[in-house]
Amino acid sequence: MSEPYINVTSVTYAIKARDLLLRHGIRSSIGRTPGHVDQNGCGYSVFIRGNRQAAEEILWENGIKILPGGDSR
Amino acid sequence: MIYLDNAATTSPKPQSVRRAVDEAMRSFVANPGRGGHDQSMRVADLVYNTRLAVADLFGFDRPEQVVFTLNCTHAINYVLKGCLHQGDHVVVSSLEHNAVMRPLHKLMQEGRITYDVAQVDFEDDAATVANFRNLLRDNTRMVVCTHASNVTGQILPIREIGELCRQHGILFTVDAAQSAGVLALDLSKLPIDYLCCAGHKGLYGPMGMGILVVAGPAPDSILEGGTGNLSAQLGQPDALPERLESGTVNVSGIAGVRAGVGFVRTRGEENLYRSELRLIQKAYRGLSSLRDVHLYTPFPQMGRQVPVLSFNVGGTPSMEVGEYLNQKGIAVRPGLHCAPSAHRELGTLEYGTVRISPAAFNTPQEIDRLIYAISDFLRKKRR
Repeated sequence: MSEPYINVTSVTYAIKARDLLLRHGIRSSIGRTPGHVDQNGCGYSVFIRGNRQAAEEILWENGIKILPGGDSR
Repeated sequence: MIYLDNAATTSPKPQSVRRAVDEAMRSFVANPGRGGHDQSMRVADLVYNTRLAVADLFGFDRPEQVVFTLNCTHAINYVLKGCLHQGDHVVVSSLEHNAVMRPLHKLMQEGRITYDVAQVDFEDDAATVANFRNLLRDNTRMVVCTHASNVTGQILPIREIGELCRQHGILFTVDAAQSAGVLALDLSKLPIDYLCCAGHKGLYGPMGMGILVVAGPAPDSILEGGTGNLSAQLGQPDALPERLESGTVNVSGIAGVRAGVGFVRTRGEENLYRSELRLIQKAYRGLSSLRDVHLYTPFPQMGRQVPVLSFNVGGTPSMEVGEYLNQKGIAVRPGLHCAPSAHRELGTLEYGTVRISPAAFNTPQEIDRLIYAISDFLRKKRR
């Protein structure tokens, strides 16, 4: 099964996002953004074990910038 | 050695700090925020958790805006050089350390800024605040103020000065080198934009660690380089902390700071402050009972002084007294303490002062030995 992921600006925000999502009952893990390096260069992603849209909303509401390009792996 | 130079760096470090540094050197050796491998991610977690611990200590809800620096001086340089622009005016207190004065002086010499010095009234906080207010101009962009003097221990009224800054839309920077870990600092209640402190003083971490807490606008970078993110862009990333953390961070130092913050939380800031101030009060009583010892401040009180005390012995240069005490196995700090501005206020620019500064591991017996050594010194001088 594919695992959706959300791209964020740095490892700091990835960890913050992971901890935040967990407090909202969404489990996730973090790691390097998969696939080819995009126009931004190296980045970090949050891999969601749950509803990606709900996760994105939580991150937006808490001021965590989401970079374009997130997908599923 | 009786170590009474904790205002420079606390010594010894708590066992928990030594263990944390050792453990980091063994088990947390990878570059955080670079690789995506498990070892790197474990280290990234350690670094982030330290940001959380520091943010929590300071009542701050944005751990990503806790920036690790080399020391407090480095943090202050980031603020001054990253926030001030051509034509800006700055107001500082008359008790500032060279960590503030030298970068300001350089910016002024380069024709970029101007600054004025507000006199600190040792008895009247309202007068101190009024002195700041009287120096504000239309182009004043920042007020920089030490929370507590590293020479006299005097605590400055930072809440009132911060409120003054808020009223005038001026950025407020606090140098908490002598207060972090000793006095409660709650950024959810204090109007501070930039809090700069050392990780190795009252937070008991290793030397080579400083902290900048950014509650106001993010300073521009003054040092650029690899941050592990947005690496295809030549511009420095905007987001903190990476914007101000180019290059590999001091992971073992950060691990030590985390343990140091834990030590402070376990002991309790107020308990540490109370017991250290008792030692300073004991020293004050003992020294003031000796003829020819000159003290420069009123009797130290909770809320008025941090545990730092300056004195002189007769007309003897402070360096000579410091060396005598060193020979007796007592470490103090003579001289100007990198704060000539404060010594100008005290009238001690020529000889400096002898400074003592106890911390968590000092005892009343050690203060007795200091008093005895000073009285012995005086006896020998009189012969």
